[in-house]
Amino acid sequence: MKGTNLGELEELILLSVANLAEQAYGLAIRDFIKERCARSVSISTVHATIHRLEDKGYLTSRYDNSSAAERGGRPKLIFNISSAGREAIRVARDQRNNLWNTIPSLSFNIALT
Amino acid sequence: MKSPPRWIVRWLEKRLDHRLFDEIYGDLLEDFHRNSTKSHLKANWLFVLSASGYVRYQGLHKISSTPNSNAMSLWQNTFVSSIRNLKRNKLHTGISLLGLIIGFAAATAIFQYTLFERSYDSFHRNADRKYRLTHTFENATSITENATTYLAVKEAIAEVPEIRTSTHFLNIDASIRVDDNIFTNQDMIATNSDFFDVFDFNILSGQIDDLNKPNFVAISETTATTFFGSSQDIIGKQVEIQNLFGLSLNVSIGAIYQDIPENSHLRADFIFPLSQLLTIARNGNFFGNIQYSDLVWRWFGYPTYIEIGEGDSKDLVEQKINSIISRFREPYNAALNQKHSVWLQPIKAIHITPGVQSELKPNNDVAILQLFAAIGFFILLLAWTNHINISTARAMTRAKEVGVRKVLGSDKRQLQLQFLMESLLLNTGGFALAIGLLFILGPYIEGVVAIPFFGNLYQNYGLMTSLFAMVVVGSILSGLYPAISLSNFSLQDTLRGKLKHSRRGTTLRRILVIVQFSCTIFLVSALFTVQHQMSFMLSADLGANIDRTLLITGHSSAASSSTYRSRMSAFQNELKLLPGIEELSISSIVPGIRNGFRVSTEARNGEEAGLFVHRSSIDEEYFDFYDIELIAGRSFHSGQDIDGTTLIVNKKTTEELGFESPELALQQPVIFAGIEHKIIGVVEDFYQLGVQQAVEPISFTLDTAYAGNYISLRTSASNTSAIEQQVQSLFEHFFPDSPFTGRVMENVFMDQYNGEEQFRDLFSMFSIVALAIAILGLVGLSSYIVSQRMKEVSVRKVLGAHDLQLFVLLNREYLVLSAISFVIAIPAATILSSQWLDNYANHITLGPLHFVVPLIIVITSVFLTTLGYTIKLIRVNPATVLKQE
Repeated sequence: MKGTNLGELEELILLSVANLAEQAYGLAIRDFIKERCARSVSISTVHATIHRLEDKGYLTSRYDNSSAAERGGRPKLIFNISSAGREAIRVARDQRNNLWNTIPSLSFNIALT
Repeated sequence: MKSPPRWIVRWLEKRLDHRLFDEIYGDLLEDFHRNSTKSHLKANWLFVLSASGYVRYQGLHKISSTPNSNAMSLWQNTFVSSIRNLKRNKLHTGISLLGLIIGFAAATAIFQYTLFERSYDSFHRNADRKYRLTHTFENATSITENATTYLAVKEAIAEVPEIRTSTHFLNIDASIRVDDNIFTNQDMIATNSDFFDVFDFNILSGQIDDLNKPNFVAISETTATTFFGSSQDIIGKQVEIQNLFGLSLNVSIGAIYQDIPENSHLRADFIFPLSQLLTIARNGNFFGNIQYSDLVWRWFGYPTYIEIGEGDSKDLVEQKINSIISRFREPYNAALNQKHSVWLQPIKAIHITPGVQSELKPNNDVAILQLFAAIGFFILLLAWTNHINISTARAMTRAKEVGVRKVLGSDKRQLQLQFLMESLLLNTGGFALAIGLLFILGPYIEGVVAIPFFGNLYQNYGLMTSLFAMVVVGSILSGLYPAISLSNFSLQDTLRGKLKHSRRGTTLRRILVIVQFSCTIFLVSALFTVQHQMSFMLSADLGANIDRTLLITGHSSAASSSTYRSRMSAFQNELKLLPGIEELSISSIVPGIRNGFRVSTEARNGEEAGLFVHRSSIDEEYFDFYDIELIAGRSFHSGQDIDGTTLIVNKKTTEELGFESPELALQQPVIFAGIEHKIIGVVEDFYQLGVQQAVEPISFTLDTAYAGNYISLRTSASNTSAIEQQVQSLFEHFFPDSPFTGRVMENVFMDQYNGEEQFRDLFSMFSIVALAIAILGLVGLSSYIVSQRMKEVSVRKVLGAHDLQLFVLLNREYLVLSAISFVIAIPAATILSSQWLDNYANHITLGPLHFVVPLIIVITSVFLTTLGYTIKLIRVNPATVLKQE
C-alpha cells in the first residue's frame, strides 16, 4: 500500500536506530552511519529524518538526562524502533531480497566483468 | 569550557520548535566539544555550518517562524534591484569587481605566504618547549653566532634535570651507490634515534632503534623512491656509502621516515648512525694525537636541541647549560683568548630570525614578513578605495533613483540597505572569484616563491574565516558612505536634478585618491630601490675575475692519499692539453663558496691577539687566474714556499692586525695552531661571497696537496658546455668511482643572491598588482568626471577657452593630488628603504633619483590613463550638451 514505503535515508536511519539499541540519538546516529556506511550525513538531515519517522510512528522517543554535562545541561532524546518501524524495515528487506533473488545469473556475470 | 558563537545559538533558538531545541542544541554542543579538542576555530566553523543546515527543514521550525511575507519581499526586492543596478553599469561594476578580485587574490596569497613562513616547526609536539642551543663566540674584534656546538655538549648537559629529551647531529658528505647508480646530492646527517624523540617525523616502516646500531641507516620516503623506485618492502636492502671520511662501507636500510615537511628548518634525506661515525673517526687517523676526551670538547659542528619540562624556566636551564659548558671549555678558551656562551633559541623562531652561521636553510626575516603583510593590507586598502571612489561618484548620478524611491515611500533604512547590499554582493562575489583565481594561478605563484604552500590554503580555516570576516566588514565600511550620504539627500533636490552635477563627496574622493597615490608612490619608490640595489650587486666588481670559468669539485677527504694525489696531477696535466682551456688553478676554496676553515691567530708574548682568519690552500697560479692584485711583497714560488709557513693575506687582515700600511705587515709573524707563519705578500681585498657581505680577513698558503678541493678552468669560449663534456670524460677516466660535478662559476655566484631575487620577485609582483588596482580605479573615476564636467567644459568653450587651457584645467587636480601624495609617501619610503639597505655591507646611496623616478612614473601613468577621457572632454561639442536644457 502506498505511503508506508521507506525512503533510502529513512531506511538507513531506522536500521541504525535498531543497531544502536537504547543508545540512538541524533549525533550517535550520524556517527554510526559515517562509520559503517562511509557516508557523511549532516546532523540537521538526521534530525529532520528522525522526527519525520517519529511522526510516522516508526520511532518512539524518551529523554535521558544521564550525560547532560557535556551537552550544556540538555537531555538526550533517545530513540527506539517501534513495532511498526520493525515491520517497515522488514518489508523493505523482503522487497529487495525478492528482487535480488530473481535477477538472472547472466546479468551478474556481465556486471562483474 | 569554550562555547560556540552566541549569535548562531540565538538564531537557532528563534527558529527551531522549542520542544526540539533542547535535543538538537544538546547534540550540536556535544559535537562542538568533541571538535574543539582539536581546534577551537574549526569547531566554531563546523558548528555554524551544521546549525545553518536547519534552515532547510521546515518540519523542524516553529509554526510561526516562517518569515513574514512583507519582510521577505523587502529582502528579495533589494536583492533583485541590486543585481539590476550592478548589471546596468557594466563598465563600473567591472572595474570595481576586477579591482576587488585582484586585491583579494593578492592579499590572500600574501597572507598565506607570511603565515606559511611563520608556521615553521610549529608542528612538533610541545614545540614551545623545544630549543636549539645557539652558540655565541666573542673575541677582541668580533662576535659571531653559530647554529652548532661541540660534540660533548649533549651528554654533558644530560645532568640538568629540566631537560626531558635532547638530540644532536652532524652534517656529513658522501655518495651512495645503489646497484649501479651513484647518488650524490643527498642531505645527509649522522645522529641517533633520539632525533625522532625531539622532532615529530613519523617512522613509516622499520625500527628506528636500529639507528643506534652500526651499519643500519634510515632514509626518507622520497629518498627511498629515488633509490629503489618505491618505498615498499625495502627494509633490509643494502646500499654502499662511498667517500665517508675516505671510507666505503655497506649498510642496510633500517627504517623509513616520512619526508621532513617543507616548513621545517631541518633537512635530512639520509641518516647515518652517529655512534658508528664516531668510531670511524676515532679509528681513522683524522685528528692526529688529540685525546678523544679532548676531541669531544673541540669538535664543533653539532646542532643540538633540547626539550624542557612543562613550567620549567628557560632562563634557568640556559644558566645551567652555560655553567657546564664553561667548566669544560675553560682551558681551551683561555688559550684562544675567546669567550663563548649558549642561548636557547625556540625552534619555532629559528626560521624567522636572521640566520646565524651554519644554518641548514636560508632563513626569513620577520621584518620582511611584516613588510609583506603590510603590502597585503595596502593592496586591500587600494581595492576598497577604488570601490568607494566609484560608488560615491556614481551615487551622484543615482540621485533621481533615490528621489523616486522616497516618493514611493521608502525610508532611510531601506535606502541604506539597498546600497549596502550592492557593496556586499560585489565584495563577496569578488572574494569567491579571487579564491577561484588563486586556485588556477597557485602553481605559477608557487614557482616564483619556490614554496609549495597552496596545498593547505583551503584547509586553513583560520585564514579563510578571518579573510571572509574582513571582506564582510570591508564591504560594509565601503558601502557606508554612499549609503548614508545618498539617503540624506533632500527629496526636492534629487527630483529637480540639482544633485546630478553637484560636487558633493569630492573632498572624501580627493582624500581617497591621495591615499591611493601615496601607497603607489611608496611602493614604486621602494621597488626602484630594491631593483637598483640588486643590479648593483649583480654587476659589482668583485675584485676577482670569474669570467668564462668552469669549476670542478674534487674530493677533499681523499686528498691526503698518495694515489689520489698522483692521479690528480696526471689529470691536471691532461686538462692543460685540452684545446679549449687557457688557464688552470687548484685551490681549497674559490670565490663564491663560503670558506668554512676559519682559525684564530694565537697570542705571542702576551700580546693582544685572537683575530679569526679564514685559511685557504692554493697553487702558484691562483692570483693570476682570478686577477687578484698583489699590492705588496711577492707571490708564491714553488721553490721557496714549499714548507707551508709562508703566508699571503688580504689587505683587510693587515688592517685588522693593526698595520698602518700593507708594506709594514711584510715579514711579520702570524701564529696558527702553534705554528709560526710569515707574511710574504698582501693582496687587494676581494669579495669571497657576494658584495652583500663585508670583506673578511683571509690568508693563503701554498699547498697543492690539500688544494685539491676545486679545480678552476678558464675556457677560451664563453660557451662552456662543449668543453665541460670533454672535461667530464677525462674526469671519469681518472676517477671512475667519483661523481663528476662541474659548474659555471657565474652560476655559483648567482646562487648567493637566490634569497634576494626571490624577495625582489615577490616585491615586484605585489607592487605591480597595487599599481594595476590604482590605475583601474583611476579609469573608473575619470569616466565619471567626464560625464559630470561635460556642461562646465561646454560653457567654458562657448566663452572662448582654448584646448590647451582646458587641458591644463582638467589635469591640474591630479597634479596637485600627486604632489601632496609625494610629500606624504617619500619620507616613509626613505626611512624604510635605508633600513633595508643597511642589511647589506655594500649598498647604493639613496639619491633624488629614487624619489623623482617613481613620481614621474606615477604622474605619467595617471596622465596616460586619463588622456583618453580628457581629449573626449575637450572635443565635446557645446551645442549638443547645452541644448538639453
